[in-house]
Amino acid sequence: MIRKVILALGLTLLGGCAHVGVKPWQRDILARNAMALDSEGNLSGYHDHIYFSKEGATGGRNASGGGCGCN
Amino acid sequence: MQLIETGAGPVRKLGRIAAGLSMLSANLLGASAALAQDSGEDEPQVVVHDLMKEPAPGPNTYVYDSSILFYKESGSRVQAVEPVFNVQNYLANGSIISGNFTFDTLTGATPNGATPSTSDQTFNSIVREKTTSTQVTSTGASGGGTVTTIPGTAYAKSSYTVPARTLPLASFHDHRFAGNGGLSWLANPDTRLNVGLGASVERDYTSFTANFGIARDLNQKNTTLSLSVNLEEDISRPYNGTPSPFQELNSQIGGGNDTKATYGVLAGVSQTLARFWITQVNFNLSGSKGYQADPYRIVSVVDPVSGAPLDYLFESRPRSRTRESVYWGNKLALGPTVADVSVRYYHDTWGINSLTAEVSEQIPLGGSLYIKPLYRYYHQTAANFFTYYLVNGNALPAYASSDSRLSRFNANTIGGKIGVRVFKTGEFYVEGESYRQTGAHTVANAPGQLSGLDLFSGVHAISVMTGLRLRM
Repeated sequence: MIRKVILALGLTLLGGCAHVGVKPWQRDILARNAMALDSEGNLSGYHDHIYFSKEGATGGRNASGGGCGCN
Repeated sequence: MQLIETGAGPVRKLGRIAAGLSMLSANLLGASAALAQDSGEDEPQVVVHDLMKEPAPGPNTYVYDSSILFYKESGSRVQAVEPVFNVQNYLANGSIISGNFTFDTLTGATPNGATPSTSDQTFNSIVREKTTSTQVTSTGASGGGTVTTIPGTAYAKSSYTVPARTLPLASFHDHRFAGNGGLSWLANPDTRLNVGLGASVERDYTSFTANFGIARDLNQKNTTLSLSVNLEEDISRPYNGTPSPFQELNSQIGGGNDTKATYGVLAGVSQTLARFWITQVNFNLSGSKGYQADPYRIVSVVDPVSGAPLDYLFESRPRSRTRESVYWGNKLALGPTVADVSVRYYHDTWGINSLTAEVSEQIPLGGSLYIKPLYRYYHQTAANFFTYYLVNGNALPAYASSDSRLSRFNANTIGGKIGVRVFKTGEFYVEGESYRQTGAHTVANAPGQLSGLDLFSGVHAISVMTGLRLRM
């Protein structure tokens, strides 16, 4: 079920993607390091490790998780 | 891709006009009013020292990130210290070489899986004598255990006692070293490929990972499609061997090492929605086959009337698990601040469904300092084989585990980060967090004494992370 929802959502988003966005000269704010989708560097790794070792769910933002015997 | 701040002159004027047109036409879930605050009118020129406006790393740049984590759970449970060193080299041709090194030291105690009892509980097991000085032989709660050699064998009897009405904990001490490296390069101006390899080594666990990914920019780089494949091979080497499912704790373990293989795929799309808003949707699917139990964790077998513990069996988990999740993340520049808002839904074939929501707001306090409060909510349902105990006389199920990570609980994280500019291009940061799990402390219809005991073993942890990020 989740896969069908994602597929439908993805196709809808992709269809609309061609009509939204910015021009190259409008990327001043987006070009900032703080606007990177993963700008937290090592802190992201710490969070992933803590939550992976204490919770049943993992993944999503990236394919992290695993790599240790903590879960 | 190197992006720069908009400068003055004709380009900027054109940018203003186009930005205004885009504001009028953008169908952005009713958020277009918020665009006004970042229309570009008040944008300063490039300010190198302004932390919040620092551009993403460009070609011919090294980025070093050195940090350390201090983690402590309440109740004399797990403590960890984890230094990490990360380096990224952005080459002139657009390639990125990265390396990451992690070293963990873990000490303390963790629940052994047994339920508390109204009487003292003694846990007897057979351990390999050569390892008894370094692994599960005592409890923090009881203050220590005993190990007695079995003459003529390589085994010893281990015994420790936990006081009445106390969550049984087993102490441990471990180190982990992990390293991984990655290479990312442009196959053409719109297509980026990446590969990565990693390894993690503990005394009783080794893991190897590999990944390959491709990302393709579309629509003037407003849309990026990405696909990555991840492979992982884990080798579990329990100190006393791998117990059979439901093997008695007080018995000699005959099993050797065991393995687990994991295959995953992550498909994502990121989309620029406006000058101040970028969004990302990922779908993650992974499957694991092999040994997925905790070789040290047990389950109490209790009397059906009194609830008193009669025996302790090693847990049993399925050897197959499929996980899938969908993640929606956003970065929003709201005036001078940057918000990070994300939601994740997760489901797996063990019966766990989970919802995670995170929000943080990076707020500048002048050009060289910012604060970032954060909050995270997490909820999960229980795995379909989770149980606090087994009832004596009932037929054994195929699988059973009392691991709280497989139980139904909520978790709340509250924290904050401070970042400050140091040197010319460096950032010193400190983040502190409180992580607390909450759940039901009793079980309906629990037999006898168990109805009055606190069975929940969720954690409350405090963590502090600090580091220095340098760009050269």
